Amino acid sequence: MNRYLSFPRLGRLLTKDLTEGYRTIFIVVGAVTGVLLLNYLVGAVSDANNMHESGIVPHSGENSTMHMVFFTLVLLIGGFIISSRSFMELHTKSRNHDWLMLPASTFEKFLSRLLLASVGVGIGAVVYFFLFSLLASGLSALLFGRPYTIFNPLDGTVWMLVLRYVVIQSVFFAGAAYFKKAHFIKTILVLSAFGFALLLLTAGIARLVFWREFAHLVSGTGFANFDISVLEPRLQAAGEVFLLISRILFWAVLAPVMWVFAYLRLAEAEVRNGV
Amino acid sequence: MIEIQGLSFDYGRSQLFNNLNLRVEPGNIYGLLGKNGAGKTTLLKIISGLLFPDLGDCQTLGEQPLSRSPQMLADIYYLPEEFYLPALRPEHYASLYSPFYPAFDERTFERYLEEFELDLQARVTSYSYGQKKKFLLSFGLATGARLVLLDEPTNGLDIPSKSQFRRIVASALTEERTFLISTHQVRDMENLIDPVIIIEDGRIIFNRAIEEVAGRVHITLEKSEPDPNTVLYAEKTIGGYSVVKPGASGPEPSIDLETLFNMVTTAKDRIDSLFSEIGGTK
Repeated sequence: MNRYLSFPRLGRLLTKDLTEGYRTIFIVVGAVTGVLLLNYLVGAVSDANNMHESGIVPHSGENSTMHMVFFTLVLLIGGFIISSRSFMELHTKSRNHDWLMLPASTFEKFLSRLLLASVGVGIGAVVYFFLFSLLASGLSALLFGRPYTIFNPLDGTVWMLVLRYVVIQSVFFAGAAYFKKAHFIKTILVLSAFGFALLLLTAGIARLVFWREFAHLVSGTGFANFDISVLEPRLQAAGEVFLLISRILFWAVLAPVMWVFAYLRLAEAEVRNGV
Repeated sequence: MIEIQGLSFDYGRSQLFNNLNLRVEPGNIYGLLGKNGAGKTTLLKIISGLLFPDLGDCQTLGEQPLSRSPQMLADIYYLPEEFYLPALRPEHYASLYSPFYPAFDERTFERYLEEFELDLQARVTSYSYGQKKKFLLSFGLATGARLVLLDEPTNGLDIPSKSQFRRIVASALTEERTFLISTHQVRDMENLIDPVIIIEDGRIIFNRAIEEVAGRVHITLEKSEPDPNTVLYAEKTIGGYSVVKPGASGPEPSIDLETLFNMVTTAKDRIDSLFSEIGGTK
């Protein structure tokens, strides 16, 4: 028996997690479907009225944009909330015993939740939205005689968004492991604070790098002699470097760092972490 | 099975254990007794890896419990006083949880459920507290775990269930298996727990087999108050005084656990000197 990773055991964990959570999944999917259907049908009514009044048939591209907007909302907001709730048991006094004593390694418990909250939510959202667009289109055709275009699950933009989601959700996943309560809100607050700190740091670095240009402001000549065109080549060069570093940090560093952080937090968890 | 040496543990500024030592051998039903806040539940949690000691060494089934390895966890079943159950039927619960326990015996599980008269068609969340406990105990014993930790197992059980509990636990004991039962309900554990471990002020102050105790002391019920100098311990009970005197009990020793506990916690020096001839308190 492998101490750290056994695929049969991981499979059992995934089955257990999904089985125990299927009611919640059904309730959430039902609620989201209701809200989305309402939006789509209101849109369909509006389109039907416009068509009736102006005789112009709305372009099918409008439907695709609407699909993409709602898909993004469902994936990001829904996914981040789900990720933030990944380790609810660990922080719940009456449930953390059950979770910690389950005969599976910490890594398997971590991996099971990570797979569900990242890839699971991503693929689940794509499949769900495809099925939902079929339903919305069918209903629209039935009620207004005009079907919606179907959400294309093979669109590259869709999977690029899923990939971005997987990276960003790692922050919420780490927040789920770290915070004892209000994981989602606290992660948002930390992200905002981090963003603000980054802004100040960038401003500070800019002040140091472009000190000559800032000297104009300090010396009293103000913006009158401030020629932005002088800065442009330097800004462009700095911007490219900054962009490259940001891309590397985002695609290669952020998620692994957050996952390692979350794993270490789980490995050191005790029952007294529950509230 | 369990080997603890020099264990220290605290909750913030309040130190609970200081240099605690304990050895637990297989094939016994240990009773872990102590006053409120003595650290019985904390000790069970440290043994199972749910809490990490600050200092000292704890080995459970040959492993460091804080590693929480799947092998060790599959060999421990810990029934806490407060627990969680998902909204599943017994059969469904077993199908999800039993694969994590390689030695799980489905027939044994069904037999215990039957013996405890639990409704197999109902969701386990609809059971009463006592029924939930009986359900988890049935599952725990069927896992085949070598170490079974029970925290106040008879709390919430009705009178017939208490005797069922004693019968089932006694029948589930094997040479390889050990029960460690933390309890205040010593009457429920009469004729079941042996040896008895008493924990006080962060230390194990008593760890003896009942037979060993019965070989050293005997407990009698006397109508009048005895002379304190002639007895080890005496306490007022209904109908007289429960008196502990040095000297072996009769051929069928029966030690009243409540009296034993009170004697050990209030007359510790006398007990220490009495047992020092046979190696002192372990």
